[in-house]
Amino acid sequence: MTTATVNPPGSRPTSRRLTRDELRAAFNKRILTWLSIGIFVFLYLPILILIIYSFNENKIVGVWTGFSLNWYQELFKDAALLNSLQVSLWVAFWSTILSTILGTLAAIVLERFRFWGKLTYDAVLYLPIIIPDIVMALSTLLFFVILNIPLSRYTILIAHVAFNISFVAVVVRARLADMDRRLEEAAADLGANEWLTFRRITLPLLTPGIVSGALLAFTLSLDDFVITFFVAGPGSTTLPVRVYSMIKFGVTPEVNAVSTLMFLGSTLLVVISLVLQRR
Amino acid sequence: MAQQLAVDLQNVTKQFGSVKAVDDISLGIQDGEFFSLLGPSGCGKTTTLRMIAGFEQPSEGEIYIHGQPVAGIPPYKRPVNTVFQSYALFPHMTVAQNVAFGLEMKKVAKAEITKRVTEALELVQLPQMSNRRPRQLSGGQQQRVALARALVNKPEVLLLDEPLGALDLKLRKAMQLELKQIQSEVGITFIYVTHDQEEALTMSDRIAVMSNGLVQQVGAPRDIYEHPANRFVADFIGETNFINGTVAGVNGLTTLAVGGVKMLGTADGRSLREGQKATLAIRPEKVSLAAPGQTKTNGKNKVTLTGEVQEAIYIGTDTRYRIHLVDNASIFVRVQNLGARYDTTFKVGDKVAVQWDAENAQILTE
Repeated sequence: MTTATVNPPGSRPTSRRLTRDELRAAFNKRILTWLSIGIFVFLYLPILILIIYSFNENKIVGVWTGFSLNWYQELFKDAALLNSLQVSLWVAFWSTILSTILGTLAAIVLERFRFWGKLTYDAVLYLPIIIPDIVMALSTLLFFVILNIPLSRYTILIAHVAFNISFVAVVVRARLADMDRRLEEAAADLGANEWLTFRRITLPLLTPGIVSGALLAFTLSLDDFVITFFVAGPGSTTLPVRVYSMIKFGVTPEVNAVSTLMFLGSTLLVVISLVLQRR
Repeated sequence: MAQQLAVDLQNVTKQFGSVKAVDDISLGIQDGEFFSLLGPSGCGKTTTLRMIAGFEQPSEGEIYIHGQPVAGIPPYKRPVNTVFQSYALFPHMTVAQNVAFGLEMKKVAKAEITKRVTEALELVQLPQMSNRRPRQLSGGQQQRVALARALVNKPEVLLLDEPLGALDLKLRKAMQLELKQIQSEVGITFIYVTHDQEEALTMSDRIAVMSNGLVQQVGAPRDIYEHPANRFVADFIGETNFINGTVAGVNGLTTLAVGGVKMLGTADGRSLREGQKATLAIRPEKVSLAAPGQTKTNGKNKVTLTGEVQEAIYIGTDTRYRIHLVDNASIFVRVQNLGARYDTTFKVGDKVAVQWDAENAQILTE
């Protein structure tokens, strides 16, 4: 097999065969391209279909009869759904506030101070990130049952704060570890006491990390299903749990519509969080 | 009472775990002095500076700033300011906000702050940069801002931790002169940490040479260069030839016997006894060469020896020779290239007369 080559005028004709390495490289490149396309299709095609069918006029999923915003209108008439959205936002808001404060303090303590039992505290703090959700859910539920605490939106809040602290602490601590300690020394050298140094130097420099941690916490709280499902009390259903119970009565385009909105909301928050972390 | 010292360190030791970073040093720094702490990395110079600033507490000993003991006083209450090696400018503030920070902390009135910030930026020749962020400035400009940020507070003592370390050679040379000029302008005591001997010699009124947590010698640049107290100082500051031998006479000048040849030097007041092992230290530029039998003077304190050229390297301003004197003893000699032609120089294998003034040769122990 010879490859036809077009030579620029004046150059020596260099007709030659591709070497084995070149062939292999070209083959590998093609395989990798198709593999990555395949993976993205597998990941995102279902979501794309879900979004498309949220605009379907027909009630039966899989039968496209025409474009309609009807299901989005339906959403805003569904009192139970709106109630669960309200609970979701309430839990997400307060768990973000609390876990951001506690997580930031934990990050500062772990990064800036030395104390007895620090290593253990460090490991334990990050445990919620790696423990399976179902274990977290079950143990949290048992905790409430043993202490005889009735399940309500407050128990959801407590559970969400518990796992969100870890995520906020990880994000804030990464930012803190990157920060030059000399900046704080310079502030002290210029006459700022510990509090002023924190307020004028450390906190402003940490802000992008804290905001990014807070957005992450908000997203995780909005999206959580497993833990919430276990600790939610009667009348305090969150949006994901509500969607799950709707599916029991059949998948309607209304479920598609609410899922589409949740997907867009979460994506937006994650993008903002990533942009802030880059800064 | 004599004039009060700006900074007085008395038997200060700093221990990190089992390592003594600073080992029982005592230093008195005069008011208005440009004082350098010079030594290789890990010699304890930065730790000493950080103890004066208040970032570290001495394990033992006492530090006084203008007579006041400062033990236990946090950095933000000390009358000193620091210029950091990495500048440590606040990235989220403008140049003007950076410089104003110290005055704000002292609750100086707004109008006064504006006035003094402008003055400080003029002093370091950056008046037009006040609204920039630190990362928009070059290394040299950042360095000036760091200097202005410290000087604007009119500290009793300014501490500088290798402030020119990150700059390129040309800029560093220019900043050395500028720093010295600024110091004489503002009249503040400067304590300057550096590992660059040339920098220390250029700028300082006095230098403390440190190694292994100990002060090896304190003195004016000329003293340190011409009369090094020991082998470490002679070796660290500039280039020095060392010739090992045995003390063979201590009458006025000291005679050192090296492989059957007698060499004269000065002990500079150090007590030596005959038979003791010692080292003669002589700078390459203090030795002169001549054709055999053509030495200019044969003064009483002149040492004249015969040697053979082993190496001759032309390095522009000078020619650098390696001369073999006796077994196991050869020295480097720098001869300025004053002649217009090359034929005045010596070639490898030439026999030469080697001369030096005994006053320029230090006889050192250890």
